[in-house]
Amino acid sequence: MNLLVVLFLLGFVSIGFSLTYATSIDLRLEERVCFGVVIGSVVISIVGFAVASLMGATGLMVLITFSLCAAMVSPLVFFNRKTIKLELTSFRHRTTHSWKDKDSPKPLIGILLVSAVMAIRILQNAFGKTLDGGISAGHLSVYGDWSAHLSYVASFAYSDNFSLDLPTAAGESFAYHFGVDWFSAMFVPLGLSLMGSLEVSTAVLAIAFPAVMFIVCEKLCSNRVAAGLSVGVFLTAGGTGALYRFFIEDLPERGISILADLPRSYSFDGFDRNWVDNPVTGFLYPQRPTLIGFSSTLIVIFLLWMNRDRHNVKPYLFAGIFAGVLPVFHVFAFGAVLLMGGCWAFIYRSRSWLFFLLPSLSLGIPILLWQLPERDGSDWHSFWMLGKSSWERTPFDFLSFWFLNTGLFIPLALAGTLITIKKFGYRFLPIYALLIIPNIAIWHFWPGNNAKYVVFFLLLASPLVGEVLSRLFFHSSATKILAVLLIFSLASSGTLDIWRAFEGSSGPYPANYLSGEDVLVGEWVRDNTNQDAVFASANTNVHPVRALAGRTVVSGSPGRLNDLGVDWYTRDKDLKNLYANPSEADAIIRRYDIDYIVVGPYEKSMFISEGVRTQDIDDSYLNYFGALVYSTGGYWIYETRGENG
Amino acid sequence: MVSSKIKESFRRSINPKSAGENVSHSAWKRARHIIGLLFLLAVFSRLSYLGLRAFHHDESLDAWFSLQYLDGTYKGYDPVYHGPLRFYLTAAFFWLFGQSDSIARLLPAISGIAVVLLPWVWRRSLGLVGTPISVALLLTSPTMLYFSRFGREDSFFLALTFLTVITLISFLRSPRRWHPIALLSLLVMSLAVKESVFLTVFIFGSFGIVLIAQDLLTASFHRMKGSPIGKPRYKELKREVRIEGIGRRSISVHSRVSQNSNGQFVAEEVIRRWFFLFGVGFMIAIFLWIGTNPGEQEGSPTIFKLGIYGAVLAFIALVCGFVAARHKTALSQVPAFRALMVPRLGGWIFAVTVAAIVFTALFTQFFQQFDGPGVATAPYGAIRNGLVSGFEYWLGEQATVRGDSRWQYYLVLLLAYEWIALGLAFVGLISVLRKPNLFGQIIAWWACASLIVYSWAGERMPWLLVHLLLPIVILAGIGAQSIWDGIKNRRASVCFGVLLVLGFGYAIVTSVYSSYLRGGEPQELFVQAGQATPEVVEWADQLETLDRISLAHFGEHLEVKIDSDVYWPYGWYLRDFHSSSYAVIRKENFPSGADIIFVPHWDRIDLGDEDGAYVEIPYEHRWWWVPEFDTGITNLSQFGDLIITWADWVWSREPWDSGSGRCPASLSGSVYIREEIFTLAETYFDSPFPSLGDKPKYDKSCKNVTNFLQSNR
Repeated sequence: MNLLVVLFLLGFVSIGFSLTYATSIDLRLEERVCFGVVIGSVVISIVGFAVASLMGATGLMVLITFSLCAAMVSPLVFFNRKTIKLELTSFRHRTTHSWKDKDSPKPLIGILLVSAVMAIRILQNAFGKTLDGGISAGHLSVYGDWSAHLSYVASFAYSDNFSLDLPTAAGESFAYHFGVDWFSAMFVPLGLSLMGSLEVSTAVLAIAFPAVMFIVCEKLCSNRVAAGLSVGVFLTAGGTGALYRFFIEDLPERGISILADLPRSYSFDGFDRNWVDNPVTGFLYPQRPTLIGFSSTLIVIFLLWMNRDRHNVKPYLFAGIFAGVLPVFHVFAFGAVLLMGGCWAFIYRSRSWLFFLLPSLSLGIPILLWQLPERDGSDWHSFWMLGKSSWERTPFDFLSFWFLNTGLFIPLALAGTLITIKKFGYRFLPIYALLIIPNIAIWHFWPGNNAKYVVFFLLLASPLVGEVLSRLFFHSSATKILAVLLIFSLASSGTLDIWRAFEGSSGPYPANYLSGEDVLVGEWVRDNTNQDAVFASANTNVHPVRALAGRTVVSGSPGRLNDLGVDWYTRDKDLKNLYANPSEADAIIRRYDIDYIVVGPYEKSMFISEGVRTQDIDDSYLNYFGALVYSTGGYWIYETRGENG
Repeated sequence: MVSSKIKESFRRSINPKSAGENVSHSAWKRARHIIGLLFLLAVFSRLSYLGLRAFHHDESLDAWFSLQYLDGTYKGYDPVYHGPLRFYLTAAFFWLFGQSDSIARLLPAISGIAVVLLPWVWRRSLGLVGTPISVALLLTSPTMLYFSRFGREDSFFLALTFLTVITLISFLRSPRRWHPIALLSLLVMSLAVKESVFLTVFIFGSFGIVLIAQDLLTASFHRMKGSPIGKPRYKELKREVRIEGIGRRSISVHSRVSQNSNGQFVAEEVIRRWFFLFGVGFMIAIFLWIGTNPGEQEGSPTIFKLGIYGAVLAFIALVCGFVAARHKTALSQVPAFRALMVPRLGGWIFAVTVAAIVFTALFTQFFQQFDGPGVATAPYGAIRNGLVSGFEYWLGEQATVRGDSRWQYYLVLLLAYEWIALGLAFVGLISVLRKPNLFGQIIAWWACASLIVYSWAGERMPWLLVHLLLPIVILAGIGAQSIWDGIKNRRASVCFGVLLVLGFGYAIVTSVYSSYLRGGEPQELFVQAGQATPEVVEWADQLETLDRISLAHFGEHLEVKIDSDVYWPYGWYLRDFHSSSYAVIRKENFPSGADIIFVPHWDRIDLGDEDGAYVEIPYEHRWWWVPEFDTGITNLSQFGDLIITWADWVWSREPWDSGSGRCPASLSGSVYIREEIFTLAETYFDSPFPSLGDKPKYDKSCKNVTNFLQSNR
């Protein structure tokens, strides 16, 4: 990490910090800093995107973006300079307090330190080097979802994709919440590598998230212990899989040394029995939009809650605008805050709520409409997983499913709702919609995506669960034991999964991700082809043309295209046809406007029959694909037109 | 430069007659802000661009051993490579942050930041001016900056030494039961970093004896005068305070005073002064007797002569003890003994137990490895190696001369880089001698003894300079405070300010130049013979890429052979390389199966039958400069030349040829690349292949030897 990156980090956090003064909500210095990480990243991404659309992703763009943002927030800093000074003094004074003191910043600093160690270690494991000069993936998050995110980040960093074309499907619009990937791409002109940009941007937001959650839960819960428990039970959620699979099966068989090589995930088994993964290893790291989505949801709810009695315009307006831009960063977060905010506005009607609803709807809905896929992927069903994978349509399986995937989280949340009804009124009832929706609808092409609603339920119900656990903990010795047992049952699966990612040597990872030849061809494509060139290449999970150069391809991984509502089937068929019948290439080349055709190990393994001789391939491809412009390490790239084609 | 407003407020705060508590408080508040700012600058200067400089031979070994510990293949403490503690910590950094050149230097950098900040602990002794100046001197010191960004153990050891001295002074001033635990544990941790701890023990052990002697005598003196030293005296002072809701009120307070008008404390100062002068003077005499070059000494062994020094000091302490006994002075009236008695026997036993556990943990890889590495320099088990091998090896090294052979080596480096600190420290020394107190005496002793001992010790290396410099800087802080206290008029304060501006200006420019812009180039006196040229880094990068290309084109990894004489720092740089190997290459055993071969110039190969199969590329591996400090002048009439030559070096880092061919030089050699690999590389790399990095060019007497390679062939 170089100095420019450090300055950029400090810069956007300062901008976010300054913007917290626009909320008119009283916050402590450390709380502003934590919120500032999230708010700053959102603001710098939006302004940066506007600037980059005019001049491309360069170092100068980052400088201009930062200058614009600094100019924007400077009046806030100026008018609040005395408050800032007072808050600084207060912070210094409070650091001398005992950590048990309710004003002491030490618990928050402790949470930040722990989350920093966890995040840095997990991300340090993300990518490695292989002996052939290639890249290895450190865990499933990287091997799976990050393949797509690499393509998105690379498309901004190396292909100036500001017309927002989907880099994994030529000709399609980028109907995806790409904000956090663009945020990562902003680090590349500052000197970070592509992989480094993903790691650093993820680290910053992942470190801030537990702290943000603690701050919000502190305001919602009755004490700091409850707040800490809320953060803990959410981050380590993952159902009760470990109670049997680890403690009864794996641990007795292999002993304590198993901790150095955990054989499997205990929260997720690939949508067989476990559908709801751990929020950290299954959502926060792999599904990068949640990095901003989780924190932003909590910040908006925090603002609405803190403004509940005063009904000031400023917090509503700030929350409304912030919520309005969320679809760019995380559509589900937008949905969650709109659900909560809308219901609160309806229950506690007041004109000032319009200052939240109008900006959030007027900004968010158009973005949402733009993101809607052309293909209708919605469907209705009953009881979500029942009748799918190995779950039967029986009441017992229904209960088993929820117990295995969420343990006693839901009953505890219900108990929490009851015991806090005086404090919250009906405010937390809407969160149960997030449990109902996945059981009646498929709005996102595939039932597995419904887990994203459940994880938001877990996030928003955590303060309720934390409250129940803390009351049990402080009530009597017997309930204290009960609380400990409950925490153990709620946290064991997730904790083991987080440990697995943290420890870093559990098989099958690190796994080969891109070979040395892949890296060479990726670098060549990045440095020697036009930024808007379209490539035909294999639609594997990862491909160097997409992942390292960010060039647009005919088809990325079919599963991910399906999630985005793209007709992956036709593209897959066309690719097969292109490679198997080169004589028909012309029509396909014209259909997708293909500039280059890649023939490499992935293409050979997917599209070319084993019996075909290499010489035959070369001859026919030269005749139909165009001029050979690259031939190294088992890769051949043909230029279909232009000077060589 | 402090503004006149700040200066005035400082002055008022220092002078209790013209200022109240509020002013003093606000002045300290400002000082705290200044220190805060300096701390941020320390973080920035120590951590930014840490990977900029090519690795020194020793840095690469440290990083390599840390990796070994991480991989579970570290065999244990071997005094040749010093203590294992920093391997554990650097391994932890590698584990957390990943492996890179910057992370390999992170521990020294963090230690360097801590060292900059630690004088704050002594703010009450250093004063309102002395504290920020000490911190600023440590921050801007070219030596401190360079070696805080240098991946050896010295920066970390220095931080531990600093903490040890802080604990020691705190123990002597107001002893607590935890002090022995901290003190002994810190010493054990220091031992687990570097054997220089023996010098630390010698310096403070000898001071301890002197302190006991002088305290015994002082206590007897006070006993004679009827004023036990242990009993503090008070005098009544009027103070104006502001009470909320009431306004200003004058109150009387009993304030403890450090001296009175009857001159009793003058005697204490006289005792302190003469004991200090005697101790330091006698130390110089002993080391002159041992010889300034221990490697060349003859006659009685060093340890015997050092024993005599200790015995004489102990004898003096005994005499003083006898005098005290005759005056019926109780031990509890002697501050040094009183401090030792506070933790009681149980406390000391507990402290020794804790230290023993820490020792065992550190030398057995946290109770995992009780066997030693089984090498000649560490032949015993892990614990015995920790206890004796280090000392045996260190003692053996004193009989050799490693590094620079001149006793004045450190003095010259201090004058060249740290003249502002040296000048202020001299004033500090005078000030301590004029009005000696415990703090001043310890710091002055630490500074003088370090200068003497390190100048005498057999191994003189640039990185050891930090160990002398730290007490000098603290002494400089005392000096700066005493100058400030003594300033009577505006002209004097302006002169002092100008001096500071010049001094700090020089230090900042030199620091930036030597640590960032041209750090690691041989004309810099910090650069020792193990420093790799930028070529090494370039080659390491190019080899990684070449291997990938080779694999893609030929389906095989590159076979790289590196001769043992030029293997480091490649051992670190090529840690992930598929097939680089350590080889002993001679002209007669040319490894013709290899694709790339690195050899030093004495193993340069006559290709013979292989002619045409390989391309030979001239290569420079390490570089250095060992100038004559007198620049080669032979009589006093050439003194002007000496000044001009040094001025050239100060201004533009232009080295000089001392008349004996001592210009910057390098260990040169050759790289042999198989013809087809070379052709492939030429087509792949955009810039001309191979890239060899930037090298310095000289304009004056060393102009004709800028081609290091030719000068060594």
